[in-house]
Amino acid sequence: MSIETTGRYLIMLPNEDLEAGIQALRDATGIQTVARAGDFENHAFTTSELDGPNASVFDRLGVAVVPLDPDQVQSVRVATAAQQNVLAIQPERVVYALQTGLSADYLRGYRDAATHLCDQAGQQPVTGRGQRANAELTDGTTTWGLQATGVVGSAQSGLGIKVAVLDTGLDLTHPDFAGRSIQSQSFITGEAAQDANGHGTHCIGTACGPSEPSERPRYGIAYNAEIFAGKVLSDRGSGSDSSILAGIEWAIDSGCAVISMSLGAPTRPGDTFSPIYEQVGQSALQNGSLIIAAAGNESTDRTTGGRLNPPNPVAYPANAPSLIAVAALDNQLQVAPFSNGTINTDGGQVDIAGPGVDVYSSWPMPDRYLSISGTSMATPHVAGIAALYAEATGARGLELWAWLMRDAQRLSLPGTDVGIGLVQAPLL
Amino acid sequence: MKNIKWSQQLTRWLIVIVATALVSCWPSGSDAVNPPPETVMDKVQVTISIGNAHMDQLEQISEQLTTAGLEVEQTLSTLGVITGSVETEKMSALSEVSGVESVELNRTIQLAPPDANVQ
Repeated sequence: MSIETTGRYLIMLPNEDLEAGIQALRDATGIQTVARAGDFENHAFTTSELDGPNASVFDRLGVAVVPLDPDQVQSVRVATAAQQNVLAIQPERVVYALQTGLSADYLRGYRDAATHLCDQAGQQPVTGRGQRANAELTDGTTTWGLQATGVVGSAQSGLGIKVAVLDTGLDLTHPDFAGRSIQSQSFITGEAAQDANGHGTHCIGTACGPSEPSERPRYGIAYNAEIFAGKVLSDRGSGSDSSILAGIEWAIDSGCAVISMSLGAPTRPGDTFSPIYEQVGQSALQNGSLIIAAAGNESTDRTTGGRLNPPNPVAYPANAPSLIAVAALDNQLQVAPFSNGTINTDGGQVDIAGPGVDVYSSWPMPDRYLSISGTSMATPHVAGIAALYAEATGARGLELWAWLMRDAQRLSLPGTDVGIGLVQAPLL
Repeated sequence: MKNIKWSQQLTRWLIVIVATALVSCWPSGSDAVNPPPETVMDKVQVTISIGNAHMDQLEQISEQLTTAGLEVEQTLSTLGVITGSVETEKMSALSEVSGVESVELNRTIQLAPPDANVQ
């Protein structure tokens, strides 16, 4: 398929210094007359202007459209390579409305484009985030989960961010949390926030554990975050909506940007989500709190040990649309056998995935550390990373949700299993 | 004359016996004062959400819910949620209180044991 072009070129100019970009364009091409969108009412160029010989600059986009001859194109390419206030150049393409149905032409074009991409991929080295996810994860100083999510290279620590983990509490005697800012509160009658189960300590370890634990490897993400350990599950691991909702209320009132909930109850195909948790999720978002919950672990095929096909649906309350539902991946970035999937169309979708198999983290003393698996382990990875984004961008609520989704690593796996993909720490 | 005297005697004794029996079978006054014990009503734990438009009337709505039979446990003002318990047969009455958005049964959550591989 030949890509249809117009003979004009799109040139990317620096948004922070458009004038310098326009001057560089003039210098490279010799074109002196530059029309600016700002000269037109509502920034709307006339078609005659766009079709004319001058450069047309979209002020708000930082993009110029200009007809160029091959020499001029070459000059601009040189300027781009030398990073002289011209950032990129590409031919302007002709595009068409999408047809319903697949014509032979469309299919040929699709095949040719796919072939083209394959050829390109073969030539270029795999770099960046794709590389990170595929690399052998044998670094002994940090857990595989922190490597696969890019936490290791991140400049953030969750400083100034309050992270609530609603679970079985925290082992407040654990040496790895000494000196940290910790608020703990029990919502279980007759029990203190001190964790006698382990689950809560493990999850808080992943989300907020130290950069330099008493023993290597490092397993924690937001090592400077303020920890809010809410005990909404008893030491025997059980809780009810009233304790969970009380925990959420406390976390929002305390100003927590992130609320991690590695808990849930199984659902069946056809189940709908709880209107109350949906309303609570929306309240939380409006108040600047993002609730991140586990998709659930009911999808193991007991006879084979593999994953049920189809898997079981996303658990309650993660199945409410305004809560982020987290699935689990192993260190090969495959879906964990137990990890639930998007089955119920009324809410109940997996939004994102995190490391959830053989996750090493803190455990109550004297055991100190333990490796376990679960969407319960994937969830605090997303929560800890959300704290990093909150620190890096200042984003809260739905905007913070968007950052997590935008920068996630897309995988060659169904969205019903992994949502947008593997959560990634900010590169900012 | 002996026969008549004997039969009169027998009749008197029969009357006494029957009268005594009737008196002892008559419901005693104490039963009417103490009714039989009531049967215990089933109570369930519920979670109630208030519509966004009614968030500032949380207290009034809570009182109305109490009147409708709710035993209030918690009032979560940021979330607009009230938790408590109510007799099963009165649960539907709670939904009819003005300002109430949803009424749901409390669900319980149970983690896998701490020594399980998958949690």
